[in-house]
This record gives sequence, C-alpha cells and structure tokens, in this order.
Amino acid sequence: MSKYGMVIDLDRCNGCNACVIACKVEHNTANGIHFTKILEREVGTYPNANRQFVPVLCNHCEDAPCVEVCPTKASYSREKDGIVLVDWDKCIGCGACVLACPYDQRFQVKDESTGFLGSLVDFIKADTKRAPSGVIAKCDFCYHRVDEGRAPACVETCPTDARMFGLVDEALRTETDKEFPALDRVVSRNNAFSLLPDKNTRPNVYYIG
Amino acid sequence: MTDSLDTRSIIEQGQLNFTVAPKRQTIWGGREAFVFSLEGIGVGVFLAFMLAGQVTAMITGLGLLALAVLLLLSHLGHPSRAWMAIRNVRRSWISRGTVMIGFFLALGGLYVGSFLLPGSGAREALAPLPEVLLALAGLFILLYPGFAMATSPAIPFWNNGLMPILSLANGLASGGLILVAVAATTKASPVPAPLDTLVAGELLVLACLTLFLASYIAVMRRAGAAAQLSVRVLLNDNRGLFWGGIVVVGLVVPIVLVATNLSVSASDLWFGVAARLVGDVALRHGLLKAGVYDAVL
Repeated sequence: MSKYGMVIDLDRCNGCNACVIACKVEHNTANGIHFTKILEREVGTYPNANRQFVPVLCNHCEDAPCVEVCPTKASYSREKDGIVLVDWDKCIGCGACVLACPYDQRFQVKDESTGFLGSLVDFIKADTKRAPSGVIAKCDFCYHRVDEGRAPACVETCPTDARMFGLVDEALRTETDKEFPALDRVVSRNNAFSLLPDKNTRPNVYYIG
Repeated sequence: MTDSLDTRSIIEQGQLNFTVAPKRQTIWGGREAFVFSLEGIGVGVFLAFMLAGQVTAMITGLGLLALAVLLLLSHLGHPSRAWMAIRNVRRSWISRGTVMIGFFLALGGLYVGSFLLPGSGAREALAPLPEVLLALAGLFILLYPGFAMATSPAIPFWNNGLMPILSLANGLASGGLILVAVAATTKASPVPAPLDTLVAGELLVLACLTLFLASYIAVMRRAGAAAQLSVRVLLNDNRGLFWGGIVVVGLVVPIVLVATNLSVSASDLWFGVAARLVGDVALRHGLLKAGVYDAVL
C-alpha cells in the first residue's frame, strides 16, 4: 500500500529546473535521462495567454502497470511504503515497463556515461550508485533520503516550495516519518487532480493550481 | 477525426522535448516486429510439417523459432539474464510467452527426436497428446504478442481486446498459407482434409484478417485523441508500409493467389507465402510504429 506521495502546485512552479538538476546530481543520471522534467504548455488565448510549467516524475502508482508487465519482477512496489523501484540486478531491459507507463517516466539506459563537454568530464557523485547500461531507470522518490527522514532532492531544492512530499494518509504516520506532512488534507482542500486518471493506475502524485 | 489532431504535434520518445504533447513510442520497432513474426513462422512451419510428418521441415521450424529467440536476446539490455523472464508468469504476458516458447522448443525437440531415434514407441503410444500440446502451445505463441501489447494502458491504440485477435489472425493467416503451399507442393493434404477445404479455410482466415484490420482502424478512428493520432501515423505518415506492405503484399497478393490456386503452380503459392510473411512483419511493424502515448495533461 502506498504511503508516500507528492503534491505539486502548478501556480508556484516557475520552471527554473532546479529540481531537474538536483535530481540529476542526486542520482547521477546518464546523459539525456531526467527522472523529473518540467514540461511546458500554453494555456488561455490571446490576450490572456500564458505559459504553464508542469513538473512530471514517476507517479508511484498504487496499481502500477509497469510492475504488472515486468517479466522478471525487477519492477516492484516496496512493501513497506509502496515506492515503485527497479532492481537493476534483475532487469533485463526488455522495455515492457516503458511501454506500460502512461506517464513515460521510465528510461532505457543505453549509455550510462554522465559526460559533459563532449564527455571530457564525467560527473559522478561518489556515494550514489548510478543506473548501469542496459537497464531501465526511473525516479525512486529518493528512497535513500526518505528512509533517513529527509525529503526527495527535488522537493528540498525547489525555491518556490511548489513540491510537497509527504504521507498520502495521516493515519499511516509512524515514528520514522514524523518530519513529513500529511497530504490528504492538501489534496481534498485544493481539489487536487492527478494526471491521466482514466488509466486507472491510482497515481500518488497530485497537482493543484 | 478532429482536424486539430496533427501528427506533427507528436514528439518522439527519448527526444529532449519538454512540451506537453502526445508521444510516439520508440522502444519496440522493426526488430521486435520481425521477432514476433519469426516466432509465428517457426511455429507455423513446425506444426504444418508435423502433420505431414516431415522431420527436416520440423527441424527448420524449430530452428526458426530458436533464431527468433536469439534475435530477441539481442534486443534486451541484459541478454545474459533472459532466463529471469519466466519469473512473473502470473501477471506478465512476456513471461508467459517465454515459458511457452521454452516448452514448445523442448517438446518439439523431443518430438523430432522420436523420429530420429525410433524404437521406443513413446510417440505412437502417447498420440495424439504431444501433437495437441504442441498445437496449443503454438496457438499461445501466436497470441501472446497481441496480449503483451493489449495490456499496455499507456498506448490506447494497442490497449483493447481486438489487438490479440488481430495478432492471432495475422499469425493464422501466415501459418495457414504455409499449410496450403505444403499441400499443393506434396500433392497431398497434411491434415485429414482435402486441399479444397484447406484453401477455403485459408481464404476465410485472410478475409477475417482483412475484416479485423478494417474494423480495428474504424474503431480507433473514433477512440481517444492518442488512438486517432495513431491511425494517422499508420495511414498517413507510414502510407507506404500500410498500403504497400500490409494491404497489397500482405493481403491482396495472397488472397488472389489462394483464390486462383487451382490455376497457379505450387511455386506461385510459395510466392504468396513469401508475400504473406512480408505482410505479417509489416502489419506488426505498422502497429508498433503507430503506438502513441496520450499527452499527460
């Protein structure tokens, strides 16, 4: 059962991409792979047209289709909190989960290098394991930080507090996650919505604004 | 279809494009289409010649299936771990397909072995159980790619109950034509049915495939935005593949050759088989290429 979720306030996001960079640094993601992205779209019509930024990441769905289709059980929901993860030692890189994820939040690592300046410099954060070539990688809600009672890197970095990480239900609170807010009231008070609800995946990332 | 839907708005999966827009999948393509078809062809050849009792051709069928497995391995990120794909039989169609291919290869190998090493009498004693099991496993191998695609909620063009039927009809049409060509070549039907009945059956399957394909596209033209875009990708952006490969080569040529089988030679029928097999791959490739994700918002 899912324990954690995220609420993203679209009115607060200014598209600075700090979360994208924080995530890349936290996970040493390979070139071209972003576990979180800021999408853009135009809303309204002239003269009231505007640009809206839509941060996207893995929705850590309760009924995750990526977990269903994985032939090796490499994709799984962590039993204690429902965070959807990939066991890279079991992943064969067949791509079935990529095709099953409605949010396109799974990425095939073809080249694990994180090169910069024509690969002259390879940035690697020493204490973080990066996804090896040939596997599927995705947002893991920074479970290594969550286990220590810290919010995911994207949440901690966001300068406008557009992202809120917490418990999907106050009733699930335990001693280890007393630092995290409960999101259930935020969701109900703000008429929060999720992306592609018709896919029936019961996502745990909500949007307001 | 609404005019606002334009395939130029589709972005390619993997592109560094950060707009909210429908996205075309690029994970599975020509290689996967070829592998799925080759699996069906291997199974079809084996079963057709199993009924005719021709050992060399049965070995060829198993060889084609084994080749498909090898090609499939090359598509994996970690081929050495491929055996792990049998772990999620309860929920994953790829897992189920992997198990069934392994079962078919093993039982098929034993079946062929019983011809090469006669004397035990096991095959005769167990008949028709091995033949029935091989036929059922073969049917499953024809079906599973369709189910693997149909169970993906992300891509509306695939995510419907017609997909497995279309996949099965595609495989049966190819296998049936191989059977007709074998019958015409050997001048004896490998199954307990006359050649005319085989021809009528094959024409029926080809007609059903044409009907299913037309229905599929008609249904998808009225489905959600992503499915409508998929139809446009298939019919407009890939019109050569669709009209040339799928319709003319894969359907019209085989139908004409089978319908006039009494006046054409066996070699012409084998030309029809070749055309059908090209159409088989083209149909799978077209359906894969047309896979479009919904825009997230």
